[in-house]
Amino acid sequence: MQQQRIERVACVWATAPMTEAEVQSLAEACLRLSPQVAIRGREAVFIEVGACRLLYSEVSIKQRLLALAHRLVRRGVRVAIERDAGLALARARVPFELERMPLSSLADFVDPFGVEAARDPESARAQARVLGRQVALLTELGIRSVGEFLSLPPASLASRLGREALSLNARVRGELGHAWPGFHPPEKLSERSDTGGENLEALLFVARGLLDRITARLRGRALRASSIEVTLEMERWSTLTPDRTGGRRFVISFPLPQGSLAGMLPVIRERLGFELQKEPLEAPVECVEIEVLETVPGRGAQKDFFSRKEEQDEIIESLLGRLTHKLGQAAAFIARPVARHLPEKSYERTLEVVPARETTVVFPRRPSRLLPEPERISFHGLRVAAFEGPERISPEWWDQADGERDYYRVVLGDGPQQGAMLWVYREPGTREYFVHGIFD
Amino acid sequence: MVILFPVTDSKRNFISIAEFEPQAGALSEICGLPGCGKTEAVLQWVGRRLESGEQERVAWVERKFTAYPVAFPQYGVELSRVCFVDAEDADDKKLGWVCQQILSSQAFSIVVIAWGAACSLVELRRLQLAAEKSQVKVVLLADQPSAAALWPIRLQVEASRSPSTGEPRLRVLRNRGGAVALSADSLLARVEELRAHREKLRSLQHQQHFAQHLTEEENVETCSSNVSSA
Repeated sequence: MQQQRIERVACVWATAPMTEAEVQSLAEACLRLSPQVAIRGREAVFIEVGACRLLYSEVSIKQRLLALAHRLVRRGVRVAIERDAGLALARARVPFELERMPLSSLADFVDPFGVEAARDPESARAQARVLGRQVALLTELGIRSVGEFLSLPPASLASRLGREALSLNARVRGELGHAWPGFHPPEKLSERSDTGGENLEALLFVARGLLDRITARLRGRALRASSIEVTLEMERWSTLTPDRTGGRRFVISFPLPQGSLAGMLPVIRERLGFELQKEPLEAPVECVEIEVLETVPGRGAQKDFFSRKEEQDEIIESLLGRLTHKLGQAAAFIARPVARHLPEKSYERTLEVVPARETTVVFPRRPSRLLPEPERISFHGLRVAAFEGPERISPEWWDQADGERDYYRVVLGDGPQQGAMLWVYREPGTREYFVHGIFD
Repeated sequence: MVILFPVTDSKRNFISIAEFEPQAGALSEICGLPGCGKTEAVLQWVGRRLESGEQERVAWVERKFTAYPVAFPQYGVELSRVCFVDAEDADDKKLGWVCQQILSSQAFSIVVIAWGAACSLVELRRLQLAAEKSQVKVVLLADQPSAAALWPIRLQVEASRSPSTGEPRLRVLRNRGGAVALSADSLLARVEELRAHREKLRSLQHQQHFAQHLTEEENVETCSSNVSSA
């Protein structure tokens, strides 16, 4: 049975104005909870969490939003979840119940998203003047809180205080909603810090903070980064760097797209460590910027509460990325069987964690070791204790280079490797044998 | 097909693969020439472990990569739970770094390392410390047993093919800190074997003593007959 959707709006309000970048980052990161996000100038972010409540409790949502704000905004924030945006904003600003809320909070119900103020500031100021007059009138009448204002009979409001008061009353009661403005995250995904450093550790400390914010934003967009650019801007007027004022840029491609700090930071540490060892910094760094150049879709799956599989996969992918970066492409891999008969082509190296059903294969017995290239073997002087076969394996019809092969399991009968099992083959009609595998 | 094996080897010091159980947080080494079945023994053990633990994962590191992943499911090893590392052309330092990364990630409960050439004492000690810290079971695969002075290895076994069945079997070369690799059943069987061996020795001694006695008697009789005839 489909559950009835209830509108619930969360408001994250900063106690001091945020920067444009901060409010954008916070709104972007909040996209992980709901696609319906709006911002109010530089002071608040709204998230429609009605559907999200089916997954998380309101307490959990509040904690998640506070954690996000702590990562992305360097100032105090308050979070309130209410039935509409106006009430959520008012509750975030003034942590009182509606009945005890001062009349000044009525302004939050008029234009909670700040759309009017952004579109037509003059009209917004006129609206504020009207509201000011109404608040003054209500105060004269002895009404001091929003609760008392709500206790007035709506039928007589228009005749006593004007139609604006009736409209305001309906908004406070939640009977008159507001259209949500759209939020479009910026195309460029970058973070910048004006704090620098003089050595690798200091730079990594700064990069860590930037990456933390970037991963939060990536998560909001359900993306993972496959390539980033790290820019180090050095002191411009340093006597040591008269010519290089543009700084140094490092483009870092991840072998496996990363969406977590734990996956990105070790790779950046390795790369910067290598580069700065090769060519040390000429002057102190005064600004660090990290920009995501390429992204791929991330995992949209919800976290499994009862299993650490997702976390394990993330750790393994991060490890694979580091190892591949160090050892080379396809050096660290997960094997995926492919439907090809030739033994050397029967699996491929992949970096993605393969589902278990794809890895179950049924073959005649195969050796645990396969030589990179078959080696010719002569059985002169060797005693064969036993053999089994042949098992004929044909190459793909389009591949004329390889002929058919008859494979045998051969057990050596004497010598230092007595009992050793080899996997040898010969092409039909020939007497040349090749060792291709060892049952080690 | 009929495979005939000469039954010549003694059964002393051999343990079955079911009894092979490396300890967590320690290094174990399994050695043997190519074809002796050491990889199969490890795979059987890994398969057993993966069947019992749903969350367990394996890292398989080789300097000269010859492992054939397609064969792994034959031993009950799911490929999705094995991460392979082909550290070709990596020097000792780089390979050590790779192993340290794998062990410190704590994403794997079993790490199998084919170091290739002899692993130095310094690298072994580093591996041992990392394994101890992460409580990972580290198994080293080698063609030749490491030298006896390489004390970081806790359990060292040698693999060979059973002459009767052709299946791999293991002989304990070193087991520092007690019989951690042996189960209670195995110990009881070993005690029984030792008792039987002692009884056999005793009976042999009796036989020798009896034979000696007979020989002496025969000598006496021969001497007496010679004397009488003379």
